[in-house]
Amino acid sequence: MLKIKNLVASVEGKQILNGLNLEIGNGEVHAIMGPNGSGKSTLASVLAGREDYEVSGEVIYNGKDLFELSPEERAQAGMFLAFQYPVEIAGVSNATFLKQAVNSIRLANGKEKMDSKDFLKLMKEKMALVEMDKTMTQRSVNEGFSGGEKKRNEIFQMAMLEPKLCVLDETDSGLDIDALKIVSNGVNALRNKERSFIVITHYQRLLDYIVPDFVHVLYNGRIVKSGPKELALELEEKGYDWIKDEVIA
Amino acid sequence: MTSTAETYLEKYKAIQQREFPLLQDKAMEHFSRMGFPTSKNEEWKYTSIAPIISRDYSYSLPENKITREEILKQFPFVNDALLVVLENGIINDGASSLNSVPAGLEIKTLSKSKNIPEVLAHYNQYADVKDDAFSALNTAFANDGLVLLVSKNAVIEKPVYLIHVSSSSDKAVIAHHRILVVAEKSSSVKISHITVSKTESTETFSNAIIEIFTGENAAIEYDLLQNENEKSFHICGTHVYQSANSKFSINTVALGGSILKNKLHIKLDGLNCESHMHGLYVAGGTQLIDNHTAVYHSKPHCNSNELYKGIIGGKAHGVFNGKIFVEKDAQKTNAYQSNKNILLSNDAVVNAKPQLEIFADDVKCTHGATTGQMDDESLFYLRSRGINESDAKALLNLAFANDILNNISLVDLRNYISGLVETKLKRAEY
Repeated sequence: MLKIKNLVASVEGKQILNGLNLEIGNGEVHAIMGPNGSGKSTLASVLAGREDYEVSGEVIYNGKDLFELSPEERAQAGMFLAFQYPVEIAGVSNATFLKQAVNSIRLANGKEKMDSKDFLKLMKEKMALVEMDKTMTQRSVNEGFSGGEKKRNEIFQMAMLEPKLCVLDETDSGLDIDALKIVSNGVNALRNKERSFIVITHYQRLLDYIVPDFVHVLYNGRIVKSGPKELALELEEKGYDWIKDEVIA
Repeated sequence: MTSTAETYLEKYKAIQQREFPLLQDKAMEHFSRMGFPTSKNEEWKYTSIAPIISRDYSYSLPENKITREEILKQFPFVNDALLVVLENGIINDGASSLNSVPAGLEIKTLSKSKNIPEVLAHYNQYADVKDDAFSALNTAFANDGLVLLVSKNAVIEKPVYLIHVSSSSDKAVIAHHRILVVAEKSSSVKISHITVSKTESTETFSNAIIEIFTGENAAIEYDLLQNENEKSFHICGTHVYQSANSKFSINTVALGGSILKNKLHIKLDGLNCESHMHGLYVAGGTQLIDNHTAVYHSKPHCNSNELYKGIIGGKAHGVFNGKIFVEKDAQKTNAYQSNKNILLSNDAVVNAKPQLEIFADDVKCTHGATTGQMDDESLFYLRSRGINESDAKALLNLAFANDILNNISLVDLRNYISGLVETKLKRAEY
């Protein structure tokens, strides 16, 4: 699915990722944990194609050089980023926005546009996944949404667009336990043998609900430790300091 | 007086029969005194009229009149509406549908209603003939036009569509459109006024004056869509008078024209008046769209609310100038004004100038103007969901525009305009 080799990324002259390597197979869930400032969100942004970063190294996504693709082409090829801070867009309804997104992706993949009836049906079905109120589709994208509603909306969009690779950037931040459960249930319902996930989080708590196949520790822009899901528990117990010590040693 | 102005005087003298000789002669005197404005005139600082006045125009109407079928093809939603089709300022009876005009509404030509008391009382009372060369020219040359009279207590449910078609044959045409709306006490009416060119090759200069009298406790909703072609010049003065307890709302959508200049003046001359002014201008290519507005608060306890938004791309130029005057008797005035612009390219320019002049002490007035670029975060968000960059930009611009378009209460018209804006925003020159 995804191969990252020696990824270096800097913004405004400051290097944040320092030669990151990661490989993700089909249907796998990888958690990326790390202290603040380790480069977690930068990784998410670079994968989604945010243009503020200067990058080098190699990222191959399903055989394609990711750096050759615009943000929309990445999405059309099945990548999805659930934003840490979803943007509020006044004047564009959730439904209008999603219809355009769904159809852009369909057209790019040689499919026909979805008609309104099928689209409404699909929305109804996917809204149920994240227990979203139907009035939210008529509201402007994220405008006036609570933190929890915004994150639910991200997962709802993910469900609608049916991506191949989902990158969840601190989706748990700012969620209370009930919202966390709803969001996690939504994600779990989307797991299958083909679809892969990169779950970026600071806290182990999320991984109680979205159980990963692998856990990686990101520190100083590099993955310094990888292991099975139990590694997350160890991090929760001991904090990140022992990793830092290990890296220095 | 410049030689260009002299040619207008000669043309004026050549008019065979004048319908309002006293007014027309007086207006021509004003014009001769003022001449055409230059960029030294604050009202015309950013809008050079040289391309407009240097042309030689024909005054004649084209022979082939537009048909009802042609109108319906372009505007299917007017099929059941009260429809007045005007061509270069003159009513086209064949294309209009005036058979089912409801009681309380009269739709007439100006030349045939010059002895009607309401027309005598209001015609040319509100236009700034003494101060504006184009208003003076209009009054001098407008031998005919349209009069809409709404009688006391009449509530006209059906919207009245005025579709104005500018047409020319082999030579560019000048037309002085003139419209008078009189809504008597406690009446209400909804008017949607659309100006278009007959074809893409039509070359016209439309010099329009709209006068609107809002009687006591009357309510008027006025939509003004200006969508002439890229070769056209259009100067439009809208002069509104409001009596006590009246309500006036206007939605101006300025899209088409090589040079398009609007002047909107509203005088609140009674207690408890309410005015809403919403405006959208979308300019691309080398268009110049200029909106000058002025609200005169003359009496206490009135509210005015104004929002104008501009989307400027290509090498286009947008101008907004909004004035609020609060006279010394106009205590307890609430006046709000806001102007917001988005620039889509490095070569696009906006000049925005909000002005307040307040002579009363117990008032609430705010104004402000902002000009910015499209929000990169929003654009990235949409693109990250698979929406192509150009579509994402159009979606965001349309959202910006919808703030204005959502005030248009006629859904068919709103959707039609929204489609025009969307198409325009997707064109390459942005």
